[in-house]
Amino acid sequence: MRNLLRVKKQGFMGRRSFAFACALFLFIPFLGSTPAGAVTVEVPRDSSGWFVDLNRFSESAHKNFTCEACHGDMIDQGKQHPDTRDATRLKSEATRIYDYQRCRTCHRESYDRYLRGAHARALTEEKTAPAPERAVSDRLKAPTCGECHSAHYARSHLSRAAAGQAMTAACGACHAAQKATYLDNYHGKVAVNLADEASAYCTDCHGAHECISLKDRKAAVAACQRCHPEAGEKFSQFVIHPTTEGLARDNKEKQKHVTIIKIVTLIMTIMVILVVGFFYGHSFLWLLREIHEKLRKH
Amino acid sequence: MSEENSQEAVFIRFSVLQRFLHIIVMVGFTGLAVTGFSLKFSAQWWAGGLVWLIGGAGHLAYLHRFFAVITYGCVMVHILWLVYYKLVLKGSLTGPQSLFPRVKDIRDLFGHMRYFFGKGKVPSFNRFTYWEKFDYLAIFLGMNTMGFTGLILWAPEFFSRLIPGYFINLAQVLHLYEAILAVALKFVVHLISAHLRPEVFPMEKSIFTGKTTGEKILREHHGEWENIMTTHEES
Amino acid sequence: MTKRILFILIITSAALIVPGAWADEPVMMSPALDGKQRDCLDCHRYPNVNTNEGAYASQAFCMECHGQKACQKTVDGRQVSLLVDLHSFEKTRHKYTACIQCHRDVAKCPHASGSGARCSGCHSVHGEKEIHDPHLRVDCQACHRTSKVVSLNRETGQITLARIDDQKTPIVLTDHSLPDAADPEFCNRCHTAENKVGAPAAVLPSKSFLCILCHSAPLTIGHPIFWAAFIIFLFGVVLTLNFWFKGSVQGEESSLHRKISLTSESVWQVIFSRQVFALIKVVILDVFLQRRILQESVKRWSIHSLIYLSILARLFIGLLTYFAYRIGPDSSVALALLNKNNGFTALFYDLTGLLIVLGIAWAMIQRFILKPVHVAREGQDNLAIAIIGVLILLGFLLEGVRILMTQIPPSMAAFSFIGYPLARLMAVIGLDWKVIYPWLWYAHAGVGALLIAYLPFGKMRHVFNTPLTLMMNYKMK
Repeated sequence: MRNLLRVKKQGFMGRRSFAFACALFLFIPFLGSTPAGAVTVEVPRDSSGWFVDLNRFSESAHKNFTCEACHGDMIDQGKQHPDTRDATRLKSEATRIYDYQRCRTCHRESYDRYLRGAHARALTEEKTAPAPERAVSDRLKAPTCGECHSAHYARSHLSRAAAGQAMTAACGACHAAQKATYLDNYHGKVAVNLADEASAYCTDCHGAHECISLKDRKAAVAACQRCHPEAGEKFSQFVIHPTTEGLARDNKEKQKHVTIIKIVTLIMTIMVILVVGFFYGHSFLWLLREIHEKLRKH
Repeated sequence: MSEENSQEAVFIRFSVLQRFLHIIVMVGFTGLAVTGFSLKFSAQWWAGGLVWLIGGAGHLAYLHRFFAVITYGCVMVHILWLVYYKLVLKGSLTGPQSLFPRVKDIRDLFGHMRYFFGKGKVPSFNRFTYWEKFDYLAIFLGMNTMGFTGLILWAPEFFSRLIPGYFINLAQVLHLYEAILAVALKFVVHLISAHLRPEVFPMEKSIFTGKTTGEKILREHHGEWENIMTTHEES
Repeated sequence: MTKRILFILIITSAALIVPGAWADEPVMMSPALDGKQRDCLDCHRYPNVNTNEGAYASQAFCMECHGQKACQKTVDGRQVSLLVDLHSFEKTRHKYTACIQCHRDVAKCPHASGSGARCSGCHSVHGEKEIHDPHLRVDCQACHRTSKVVSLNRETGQITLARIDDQKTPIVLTDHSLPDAADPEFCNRCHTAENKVGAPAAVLPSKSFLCILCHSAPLTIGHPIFWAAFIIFLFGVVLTLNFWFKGSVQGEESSLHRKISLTSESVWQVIFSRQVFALIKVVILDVFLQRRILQESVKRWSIHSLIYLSILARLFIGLLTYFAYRIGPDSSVALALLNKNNGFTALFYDLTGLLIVLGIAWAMIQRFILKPVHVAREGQDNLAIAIIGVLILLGFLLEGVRILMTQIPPSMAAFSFIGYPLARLMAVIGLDWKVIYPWLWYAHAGVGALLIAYLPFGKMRHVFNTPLTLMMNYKMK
């Protein structure tokens, strides 16, 4: 019995080693840096690279496919792969020259929905425009299947939250202003940061592969009513993407609302800075004077 | 009653109702701040951690609204008490010893700041000093702003029948900035004035005990002390 | 090693045999080998470049094209060779490294790199000692390549290796030997009078450890002027200590040894006892927060704190930077603190510098304009204030010139809320700032050295005296 008590008193760690262990925690922020000498090479995230990371491919949705199923065999139209005489292929973008009809073989509905949507329209515009105007105004290049989806590494059976987080990154790669405003909005915060599946992700409002614009009031109300059945027409005026960049550039009514929101934000910012600044200064000076008076009393 | 004796006398500063409401508001305000900023900064690790602890975004919303209801409940009780004070107790809501802002408060502010710079004495404050009045009115205005904008954000479908949809965005902006203002003031200014000042360090207890002494009133609210003395002499 | 040579020999000999449009048709590029159809994954499996086998396989893949003389690109009608000479590559340090470990994003179509070769991941950035100041906006290649032509990217502010020279001829950049760059000859690529990248026109020495009072600095003394200052400082400290120990401890004429023993004994006894808490309280309240000055006057406390607390804060951040760099040279904390253009760092140093200047200015108003009775205006006081004031002002000037000369983009420079407006003003004055900068630097360093050297001799000695006195009298009310 006495032995037990003695052990209890010592504890498993002396005070000094405990303090040392606590101090070790100070180094946690530095753990992110690479120690010198370690050779860590990241696997390319880009699925259109020349090399396929088989670790990730074997966990992907297409793991049971052979290469030939999507890429054909090495002889194609009389030319053999790689055709060293064709230097231009080396310089062209893989995602833009691939024949996506092969995807349609299995992903028929998605493909047809894509064709009905805004991305396909933009792609046709881009391809049929005369060469100097190929980049229509300063808009970004229209996406093909390969721009958003990685055929080599995409996993299947993602949860709603995981799919939503992935699509926020994918859509946000081109629509950065919309992604930023979405993540600043209640929907984005709850859906992406807090992974709550009850909130809305990109495709919940903008349609899967159809990518519809919600500039049209009726389309907007229909989108809102999916989760807010009592939403009226004015409810859809709530601005989820208060930005005037990117696609919002031609929406005059929205620009007006965004300007009002920006002005109110500015006024509130100034007011908060002035009031807080004044009272912080007031309190600090008061504190100094009171400490001075108290010190003089002794 | 001589002045020297009554300086040790105990005065009731805050009634039981006021002490009780302060505790509820304290708890409610803190809860609102923690849950609210966990949503605003949900991308940060501490917010995500807290939400994980309480079991998801739905619970976060519920807790925020729960604290809002009890805090605004205190506001409503206080308003009812004001009505009772005026109509039943026949008290004055605008007199010199009330929370109503007066010209003297501006004079007191400048006088007090002169004292900070070593160029004057502490002004003779009445029952409520100018910063206490500012605190009260700012909170009064603030809680109602937060309550109203919060209500809009709680039932946006209902309110968008009455106001345009982008007003919900404006409600959100006001709600956020008012929250920042309230938290910035409460957690620094109120902390200094009620805890860190040498006069009251470690804490100004009268809001919890309800009591204060004549000596303290003499020191901190000299104008009020004079008022007490004159009314005592009259009675 | 033999296996490696054999492998290369097989490739090159097979390349000589197989006919094709190119004089040397690469064998890996053929869909058939030994009569059998090759599998896609024979070439397109991602090699594990963390292993030797994977590194060799990866090198062989790239060398199929880049080992051929015909491997060229056309730039402005001119042919630029992309041939990598395997024999010279074998002599470099990176011969066991796969190509894609450095050229991370070229293994794709379009076969062009957006990011160039990447050295980080294996190599840490240099600190202030090696290159005299962290060249965070200079690419590794700009110094560590045999090609001497560098250029400035005006949008990002990065200094990179140039791909075309002054005569618009494209430069062949396939030489993989990476020189050590410790020789000042490498510094002269940028640090000459007519440089186009905005570097100062001279190779400046590194900051001395003496500068740690206000800056992050390496643990060396450095340039001779700092050595001179340090020696004078030490001499002054020894003189002071000698003076202190002239007195007696117990009224006797004790030896120095006995006095030091008695002193150290009493210090030890206080520190290793309950008294240490009272001592710590005095350190915090009196040494750091200057309670006794606040007891005298709020105004005096304010003037002194503007100067003193700002310097203390800078010392703290300087030490933090030093340790952050030592512990994690590539950590975001270290890189942010070392980078003078980082938002927080720029703002912090400009703000504290401003506070010091305001304190000095207020002190001067007290001394020369208001002249209250209690201020004894001695020459030594004025000298101390003047040295600090001039030091900070020179520092701001230097900052302005640096921002202007190195053409920091406004979005980054805006955080230097004093340095950037100064830079704009200086731009109006059309001087050759690249030549002036080294002189300004030496002026600033000289005044700093003077501050350190003068410290034990003038009123600035209170920096040591006062904390010691306060701590020794920790029981005093």
